[in-house]
Amino acid sequence: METMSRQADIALVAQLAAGHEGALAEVYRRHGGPVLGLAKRLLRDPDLAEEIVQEVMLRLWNNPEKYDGSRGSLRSYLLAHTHGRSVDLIRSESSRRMREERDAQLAVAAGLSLEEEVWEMALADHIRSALSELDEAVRKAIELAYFGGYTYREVAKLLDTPEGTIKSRIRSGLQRLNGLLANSGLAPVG
Amino acid sequence: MRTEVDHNEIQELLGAYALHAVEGDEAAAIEAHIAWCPECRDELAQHLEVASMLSATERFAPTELWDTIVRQIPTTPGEETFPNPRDDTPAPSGRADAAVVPLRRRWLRPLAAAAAIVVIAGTAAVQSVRLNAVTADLAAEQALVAALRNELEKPPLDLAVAQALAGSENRQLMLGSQVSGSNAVIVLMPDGTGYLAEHTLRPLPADRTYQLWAIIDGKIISAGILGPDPGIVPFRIDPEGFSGFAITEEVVGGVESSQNDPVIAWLEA
Repeated sequence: METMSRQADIALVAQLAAGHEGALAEVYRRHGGPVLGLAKRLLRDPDLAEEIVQEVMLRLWNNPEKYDGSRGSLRSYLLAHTHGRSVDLIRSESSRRMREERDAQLAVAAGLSLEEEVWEMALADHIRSALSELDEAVRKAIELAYFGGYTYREVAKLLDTPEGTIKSRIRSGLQRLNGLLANSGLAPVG
Repeated sequence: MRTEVDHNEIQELLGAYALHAVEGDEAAAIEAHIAWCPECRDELAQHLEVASMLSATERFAPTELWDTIVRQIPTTPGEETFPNPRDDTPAPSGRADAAVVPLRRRWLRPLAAAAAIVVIAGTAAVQSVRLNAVTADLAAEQALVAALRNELEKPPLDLAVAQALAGSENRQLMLGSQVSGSNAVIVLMPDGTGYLAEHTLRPLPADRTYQLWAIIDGKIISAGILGPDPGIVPFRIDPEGFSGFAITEEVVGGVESSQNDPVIAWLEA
């Protein structure tokens, strides 16, 4: 059974497919902040992050049929694309140096630039609370992969842990998070 | 031939794949697998939803992550420590001045002009949008003007529906039917104003029309004639006692009371 918000996503993308610029504006209003926040978080470059937002929004505008409402929310679709594109840039050979710089400035920049992007504070509190429930080893594996942009093999090396263990930790961690969020009334899907 | 082992191995990788932490052949194998495996597709969708929610935590970088990364980065001579994540002082100048390889790629440049359209599209509902470098290009500015003109000339109904869909206090109701397979989205505001926003109803001959009905206090009341191939249709009902909508197919001009079964309907649970 699709949720009402999923139905709204589908309706919005249907409008977008019909060429209504207002629908894209609504997508931007609803999801542009998280998309920009995630890209900034990963890339540490506000200009580049904004270009990613542009690409993600334009991709939806040009190819709305690629969003399949039966497979997930519009936000998860947009954020997955944002994450994938950002990670591509991070991992590109030419960006190795930039990555070192990004890592070196990781937390220092975070408190200032991201403060402007605070959104859905209650949700953020729930997520942080759920993350804190995870075993530290599991949380680290997820954070390095998602926010660090590392492959699971790189995470395994960073944490000096077998690759199979990292795979399992990421998967079980996400499943555990889903369960914890369900208990908070924030379950993504059953 | 796919084996159970393949399935299990793929399944084990789905969490990492959802975080874009799988590359090359493994990623290709997962993509091929989920094309035919609904179980893995569902699990991946769940992981992606959780991952999208993780973004909500991105106000502050976790200290643990910082510590882990710092341990992997060789320090340069004369620089003994990296800045503390909780310290507001700027990074050491040696780091701050380090050369950063520009990441702007050619594939991003063509986006500039079109990005202006994205940005201006936001003027209807987005309060603040930064244009930054986008407007630096003349072509982009021209696109911007064209998009703005288009936005201003857009029928107000489109904007009204977009705004109604955005309002958290408004209800979005999905009318459907397993028989017809059609559906429609109606957005209903607390004051009884509503819009038929989207639908998959098949077009009717010119001598037929769709008609919208509202159930108010158990009575079926006509809420409007929608026409044979409706676009966005506004209507108004009494929100007190409202408990459902139905759309029927009728003769052109509509009827006072319908004898036909609903093509699609939505009823309050």
